[in-house]
Parts: sequence; structure tokens; C-alpha cells
Amino acid sequence: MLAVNGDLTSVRLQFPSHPRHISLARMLAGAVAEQGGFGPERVADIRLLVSEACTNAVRAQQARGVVSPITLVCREDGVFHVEIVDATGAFFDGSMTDVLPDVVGGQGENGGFGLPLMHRIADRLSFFENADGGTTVTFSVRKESSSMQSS
Amino acid sequence: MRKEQDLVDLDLRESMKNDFHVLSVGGEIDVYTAPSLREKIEEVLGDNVTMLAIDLENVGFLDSTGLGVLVGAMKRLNERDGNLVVTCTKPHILKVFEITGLSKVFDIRDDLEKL
Repeated sequence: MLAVNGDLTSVRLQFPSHPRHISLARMLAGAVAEQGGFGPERVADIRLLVSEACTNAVRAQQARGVVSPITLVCREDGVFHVEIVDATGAFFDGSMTDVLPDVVGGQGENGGFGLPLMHRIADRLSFFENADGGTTVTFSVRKESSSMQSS
Repeated sequence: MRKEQDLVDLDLRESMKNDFHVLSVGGEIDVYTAPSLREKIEEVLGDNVTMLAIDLENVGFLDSTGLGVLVGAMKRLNERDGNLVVTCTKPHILKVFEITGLSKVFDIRDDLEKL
């Protein structure tokens, strides 16, 4: 389900919880960002953030056998705001970390880069546990990129 | 008319360049398409390849699931004293390697001519 306001500054998408639909979420977020005058680098950052957050949501639901749709809301008012809602509380099981995997030490093949990437790219990133036990991830991206934090 | 499946599939092409087995990737690498990249890499490595170049110049998107596949490929090649090279010049793809520190771990080159 897709809802769009008249000037494409606010979009709401509900999509089935399956990996094949994450590219649509990326495409939509990128379109809103481009419409809002975000440059290519920031559009790429936004697509990456949306992809990472939606991937986490889909994976968390699949791991728990939850089939509820994922909700993506994008809003642009000079700053790009994103909200992604799923029906699981996966982030609140101690897995929220911005520490990168130690690849030289043998880590990384099975993931662990997603949350650190989000922490380093988003200007603001928050996780909320919903009353129904689900998770809302929100992040914001300014038009100008802040200096990259060292890993 | 292309089917829905075709529109999100990766384009994977093999070739040889100098001593390297080259796997050129086209499309977007994410949680949906990364398994097919992993499968192709495992197939290539199953032929006892020790010099592998993965060309990402035609990749429009790469996220952490794609990084995981590349880390896995590097690990397998290291186990057989092999060599993995990634070729790419796209800033938004290289940024993913840089932010995660993987630009210091992977051998990343501008193009296949540098193999």
C-alpha cells in the first residue's frame, strides 16, 4: 500500500515482509530525496540507510515467523526523515551495537555491518520499542554530509 | 517482457584477465540478491580458483549483506593462500567499504586493467 502527498514530500509505504520488496523501499526513498533536492551522495546514503533498516526488519520478522507488513514513512522538510515500523522487538535483545565486526579476526562473513553503517551515516538514529512489542526505527539525514566518523 | 524476477536479479559474468578469474557483477546487491552472488562465488571457488577479481563497476547498490558475501569470499581465498581483488570506482560503493574500514582490508583497484 502506498500513500503519497501532493508534492512528494511525504510518502508512506506498507510492503510485505520479504527481501524482494526492499528494493522498492529504496527506490521510493531515493525518489523523495531527489525530489527534495538532495544531492547524489546523500540520496545514496538515504537508500543505504533505508535498505539496512528494512533488511533488519524483514530478517527479524522472518526469524520469529511474523508476517506483518513493514511500514516505511519518508518525509522531507529540508531534512530527510524516515520511520520504519515492524512487529518484532529484535533490536531490544542486546543486538544494538555500532561496533564493526573484526574482519581480520574472522568476523563479518555472517553480517554485523548493518547497524554500524547506520550509526555512521545517519545524522540522527533512534530505536523505539512499540507498545505492541514491535520496533520503530527513525533516522534523519541532512542535505550536507557531516564528516565521516572513523571506524 | 521481462518478468519481475528478472528485474531484481544480478547479472553475473565470468571472464579471465591475466591470471585472474573475473566475476563481473551488475545490478543491486542486497539481502535478496546477495545469496545468488554467494552461490556464484562458491561455484567459482569450487573450481580451485585462487586468483579472483570481483568487478563491481556495474553495481548500482551494495549494502551490508553484500559486504558479508565479499568478506566470506576473501576468507575462503585466504584459506587457500589465494588473492581477492575488488574493482570499482563508484564513490557511493567505495564509501560503504570506507565507512566500515574494509577499504583497508580488501585490495580495491580502479579497473580490471590493473590486475
